[in-house]
Amino acid sequence: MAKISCQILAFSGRPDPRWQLTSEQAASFRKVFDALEQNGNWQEPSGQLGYRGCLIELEGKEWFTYNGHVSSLSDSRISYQDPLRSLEKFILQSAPLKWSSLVSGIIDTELK
Amino acid sequence: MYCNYFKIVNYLKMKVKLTIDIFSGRPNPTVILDDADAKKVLDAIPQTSKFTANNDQTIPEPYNLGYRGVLVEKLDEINDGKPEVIRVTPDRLYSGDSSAKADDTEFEKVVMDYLKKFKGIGNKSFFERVLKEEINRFRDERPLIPVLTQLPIQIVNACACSPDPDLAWWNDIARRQYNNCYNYATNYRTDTFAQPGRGAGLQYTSLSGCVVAAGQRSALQGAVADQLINLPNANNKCPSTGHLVALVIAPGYDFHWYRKGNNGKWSHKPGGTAATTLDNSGNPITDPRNANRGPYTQFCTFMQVIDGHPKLK
Repeated sequence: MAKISCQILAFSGRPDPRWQLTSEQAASFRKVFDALEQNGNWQEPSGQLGYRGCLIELEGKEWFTYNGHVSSLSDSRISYQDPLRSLEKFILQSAPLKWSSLVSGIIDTELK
Repeated sequence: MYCNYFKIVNYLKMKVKLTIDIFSGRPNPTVILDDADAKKVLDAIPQTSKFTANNDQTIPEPYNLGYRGVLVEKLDEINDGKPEVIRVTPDRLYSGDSSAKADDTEFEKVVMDYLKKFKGIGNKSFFERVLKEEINRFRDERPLIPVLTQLPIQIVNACACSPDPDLAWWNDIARRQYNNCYNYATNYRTDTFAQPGRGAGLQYTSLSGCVVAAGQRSALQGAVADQLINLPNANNKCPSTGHLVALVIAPGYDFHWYRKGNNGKWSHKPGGTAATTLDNSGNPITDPRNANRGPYTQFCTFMQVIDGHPKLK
């Protein structure tokens, strides 16, 4: 299975947390991703400070998910709906343990 | 008795570095002298008055192309009452932002005695001829260098030295993701996501707040090591040279920077995302102390960036 990289857009000065999904995580990710419905609102990362969503690198293409929408950053015509933010939650929860306090803070303030 | 013994030991360890300040592009010729030779040079410095501050630049340190004097730098602790580093010119001595009168005792002749020991002179006879010509020219032209009694240019826009608001350049995909708020604020592209202090080998060790625990190094201290200048009382006013930036902290996990442009407006670049003039509420930033900064709740300080001075990595 192709490697999948994830990144939490949260920092300004420090490099953002970035990691690769394990093959098990990647298989689960595909299921969530393939279940998304088309015709979301295409969006790209905002210039806000603080949490701004997650980036995914999948099969050489970059995707962005935030607030119920999943957008292809390489083609602005492609976007999916994710009203339950399931892909975003999956990515955050797949982060390495060292980012657990950051992730729990984001989930508490953004996704509950 | 003890003092005399100490003084003798001190002389035996005396080392002095001489630099002939003459080149612009090439490194200047240097030599390190010790013991009797070092003492001979120090004794020959022709000081005739005390060093006094020269804050108004009415007696500017030589800034001409060509010969500009000899820098004498003590490499050991020598208690002779003279500064650690002195620029010796025929009529004046300079050290830091102060200067003193000097008699023209042709100090350069003492230096010439050691010319063959200097590194970086290339062909010795050629350099000796050029140096003598240059010293003579300095003696002829130095008195003609105008004394600056006031700033030659009236500053009408206090932020004139600030960078252009070139957001589009920074937001180009080739640069955006590799340069962060620190790169943008200092207007210094590294493509490395620059970290305060890393360029000086003194990167911050704690982001707990603006002030960190003893033994730790803050982002502010890292930035100072990178040659940014702390201006805690700048009060949102641009410095006369360089430009104004501001440091804020998200306690415990990150730092962030803003910069003030030559149009007087603030902008910033949140990490690898696009630079913007807006705060987290979507409002223009007139003063980063009052902007909506999201989790960056601690405002640390304003700082001055002089173009070309910082070294970032």
